[in-house]
Order: sequence, then C-alpha cells, then structure tokens
Amino acid sequence: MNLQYHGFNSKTLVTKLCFYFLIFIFLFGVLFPFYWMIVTSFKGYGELYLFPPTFFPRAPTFGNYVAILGEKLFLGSYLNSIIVVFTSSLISLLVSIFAAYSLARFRYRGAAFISSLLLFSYLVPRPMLVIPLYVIIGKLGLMDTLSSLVLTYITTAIPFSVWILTGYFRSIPRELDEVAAIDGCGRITILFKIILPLAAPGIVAVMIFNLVNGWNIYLYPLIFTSSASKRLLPIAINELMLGDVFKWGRIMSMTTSATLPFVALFILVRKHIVRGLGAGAVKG
Amino acid sequence: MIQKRTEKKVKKTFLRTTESFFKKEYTFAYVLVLPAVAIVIGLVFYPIFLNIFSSFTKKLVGQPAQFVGLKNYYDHLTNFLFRTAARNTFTYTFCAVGIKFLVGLIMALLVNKQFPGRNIIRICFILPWFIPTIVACATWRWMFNDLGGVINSMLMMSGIIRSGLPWLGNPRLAMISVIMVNVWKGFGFFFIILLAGLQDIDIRLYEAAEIDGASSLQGFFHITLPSIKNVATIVIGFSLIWTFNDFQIVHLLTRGGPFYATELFSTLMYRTAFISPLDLGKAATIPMLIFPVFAVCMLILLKVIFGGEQRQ
Repeated sequence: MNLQYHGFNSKTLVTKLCFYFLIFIFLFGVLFPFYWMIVTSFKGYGELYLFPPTFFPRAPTFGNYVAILGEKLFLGSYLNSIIVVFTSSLISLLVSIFAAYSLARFRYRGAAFISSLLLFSYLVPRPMLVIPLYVIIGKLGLMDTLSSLVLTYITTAIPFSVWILTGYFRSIPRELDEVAAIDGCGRITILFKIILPLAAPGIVAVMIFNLVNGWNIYLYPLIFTSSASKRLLPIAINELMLGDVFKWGRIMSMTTSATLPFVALFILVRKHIVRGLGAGAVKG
Repeated sequence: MIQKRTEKKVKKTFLRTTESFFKKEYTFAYVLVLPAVAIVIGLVFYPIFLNIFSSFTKKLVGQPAQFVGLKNYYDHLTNFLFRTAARNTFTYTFCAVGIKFLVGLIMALLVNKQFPGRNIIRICFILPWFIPTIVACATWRWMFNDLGGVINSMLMMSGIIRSGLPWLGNPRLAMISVIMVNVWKGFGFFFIILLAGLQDIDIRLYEAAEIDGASSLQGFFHITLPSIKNVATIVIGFSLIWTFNDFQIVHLLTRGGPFYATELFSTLMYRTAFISPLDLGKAATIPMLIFPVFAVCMLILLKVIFGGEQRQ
C-alpha cells in the first residue's frame, strides 16, 4: 500500500501527539456505545440505575441472556429476520445476476433504457412507495406474512445489485466469452463457468450489502406485519421500548446478540466490502 | 483429412456463434432481464402511479377511496405540522450529512498514512455503520436516558453540568441527539469511500508541489480536495437521499416528538397513515409534495454518475 501523505507532516512531536489524540477521541466516541451496550447487558437490575454508574459490572450476570432466551418473541423474531433476509438476498442475487449478464454482454434495443430504469428505481424515495405497497400487499392477501417482506425486500435489493454486477461483468473481457463459445459453450455455461467465478468478489460484496441492508429495513416490517409470530427482530426490540419502564438489561442483551453475527461477518469479509463499494462508487 | 474436418468444425461453430449472435440473442437477453424488470415495474413504478393517484383521494381505512382533488395538497401546505416537518427534515438532513462528511473526511485523512494499529482502527471506524440500526438506536436511547443514562452521568461526574440534560425530552436537544445518532451511524459510509478516493491520489502530485514550495495546507486544498470531488459528490448525493428518507432513527428515539420537534416527512407520513387521520390519501400526498426537490437532486446525481461512465 502506498505511503500517502496528504500534507500532514507528522515529524514533530506535537503534531504526532495531536494526531494520536484525535484518533483516540474518535475511537472513544465510536467504540464507547458498543462497550456500554455489552456492559449493560451483563448487569443485574440493581446495578443499572446506579449513580455514579459502574463502568464494569460489580456483579456480572448472565441473567438477562437467560431471560431473553426464554422469550419467544426474541427467538422467533430472530429466526424470522434470518429467514426473510437470507431468502430475499438470495432471490435478489439470482435475478440480478441474470439481469446484469443480459445488460453487460448482450446488445439489444432497450438495453440502455432498462439500465436507466433500474438505476432510477434505486433512487426512488422509499416513502413514495410505502403507501401504495401497503395497498398492493393488502390486495394480494399477503398482509401479515413473511412473503410480503421478502417481496418488498427484493425490490430494494435488485436495482443496486444489478448496477454493481453489471459493472463487474462488463469489466471481464469479452474474449473469454468468445473463446468459450468457440469451444461449444452455450451462453448459460459461459455465465456460470467463466463470468461468475471471475466476478466472485463483486457477488460477495453485493450479497453482503443486501444482507446488511435487509437487517436495517424497518418501515416495511413495521407496517406489513402485526402478529407476534411474524415480527422481525428490529420490530421486536422496538416493542420492548414501548410503555413506561423499559427493561434495559434485557434490551441490551438482545442488541448484543443481534450484533455478534455482524461483527463476525464483518471481520471475515472486510476486504470484499471495501473493494465492492469502492468499485461501485469510485468507478462512477 | 483431419485438418480439413477441424477447419470445417471451427468455421461451423464460428458461423453458428455469429449467427446466433444476431438471431437468438434478442429473445434470450430479454428473458434473462425479464424478472428484474417485471419486479421493478410491478413493485416500484406501478406503486408510484398508484401513489400519484392516491394523493388526489381521501382513503380512510375500510372505506373506498373518494376523489377530493387538490384538497390534500392544500391541507398539507396550510398545515403547521407539515411546515414543521419540512423545516425539521431539511435541518436534520443537511446537518447530519454535513457533519458526516466532515467527520468521515477527517478520519479518512488521519488513517490515510501507515501507522501501527491502522488496520484495526479502520475496522473500528466502520463498525457503527455495519451493525443494524436498531442496535445503534436502542443503545443510544439507553445512553440518553434520564434515569441511568451514561452520557448525563459522565457529564455530571466530570462537573460539566450539574443535573442531567433531557436529551430526548427537550425539543432543541432532541434534534441534536437525533442528528448525533445519525452521524455516529452513518459517517462510516463516508469514511470508507473517501478513504478509497484518497488512496487513489497519485503521491507524485504532492512531491511535485513540495518541490515547488507549496505548504501542507496548500497541498490539501489544491490537490486533495479536487481529486476527491467526484467521489465526494456521489457519496454526498446518496447520503442526502438516504438521510432525507430516514425513518427508523427518529421513530426509535423520539417518535417525532417532543411536540413534533423531530417530526420528519417520513414520520409524518407514518403518522398520517397509521396513527392520526388514518387517511392513506393524505399520507400519499406528502411524498408528492417533496418529490420535485428529490427529482432535482437525483438528476444532478445521475449526471455525475453517467458523466463518469461516458468518460470511461
């Protein structure tokens, strides 16, 4: 990696101190909420509201975690979220791979139009769609089902996925296609044997982006599901924050368990994210 | 003999390939792209038209839609709540995006060089962006809490304030709090992309400038900033759109209160449709009113994106 310097001369001690001080401040601001969340989740009820607060639990306990495991709403909504997000991401990926392949490798009338159509639909503000989707989902009889969520999730995932994947597919030289064609490969075989393996980083990045986005979608599950068995995790946590007294220990243990898979996923695939996003944005 | 046969075979496959390039190509390509297009038309564009149509109706739950013409539009424009939401949304969006950009840029500049621990610090900076939003909102809500909230506790312990501040209870503070959470959650996006942009800058530009006697500050303003202009524009554009439409953070923290101090367009829509008048038609009017602003932003964004593609 290049040693870039952007004008900051870190040779003097004062500058170096300022530099590390700034980094420390930012790190503190960024990481403290995580620390506090985890610490709170291990506190018993008595310790939660102490002043001055204990920055490390005096009597750490797993009580909160045990309690939430017993709550059907938590486990159920966790499972629902996993089902919905994974299903919608996979479906979006499949549909987007075909569409991106079509747009990147074939020349036909309307290709540019379809490209613009998809890009435009990515930029459409979501509030514009919420009310009509509510009506449509109702008319389709899909209200309060997980399928309605899968359906709406893929509409948010597809435009972005197609956009990124088209860029990736285009960057793969056509000569490889032609060589395979001469060898007798059909178009589909070319797609699976040649293009997909080469575009693997882009596909991984898109999949991750859709997974992360899916977990963050809040408005759709809020209005499309109402019964407890169909709730997703974000809404379940929200429901704990209604009323007067919130069980903060429980809530923090829920959020901690919701965060862990993400941290793990992140550490595993951080290279792909940077590459995937960088290609999408910097490429322009 | 064998040579002739292989020659014929190569010619045949070549002709077959080029022939099929022009004949079967069209149908196959259309079939491939059909699912994506069908979904987008059915679940994005059709709803847009439905929304436009709904905005001219009064649609209460359980009742058929009644045509009311421009009444919804008039009601909103003369309604203090709509204007409050407008003011709040613009404040929220521009403050949050501006701060996110500055923080992201500063962090990217800091991390641009090699130094011990750099990789870990980079991961740490992106963490808030990567975790689910509810996690961030729940945690911050707990930190802002009047009873047991750690922010107040720390401020009181260090003597900065004497009694706890009502972070989510005071109208002005609530907006600041909500912006703070949005910034904490969202600066990672700016950080990661601006960093990529910074690393693309050719180091020789700086060396040349240094030879010419330019100071560090001049190097920053004349080399760094212009070089990341394209990337910055795209990132700012997207963030503007996303922040403008943000619903979750405000809903989880303040639900639009206190006294509508943090009511945004998105929460107003939700309120109109599912809480107060329960009038879907009226709710559909809100995005119609703000869409022109949006269209302008989108056109500008598209120009930058497509302008870049053509250059390639």
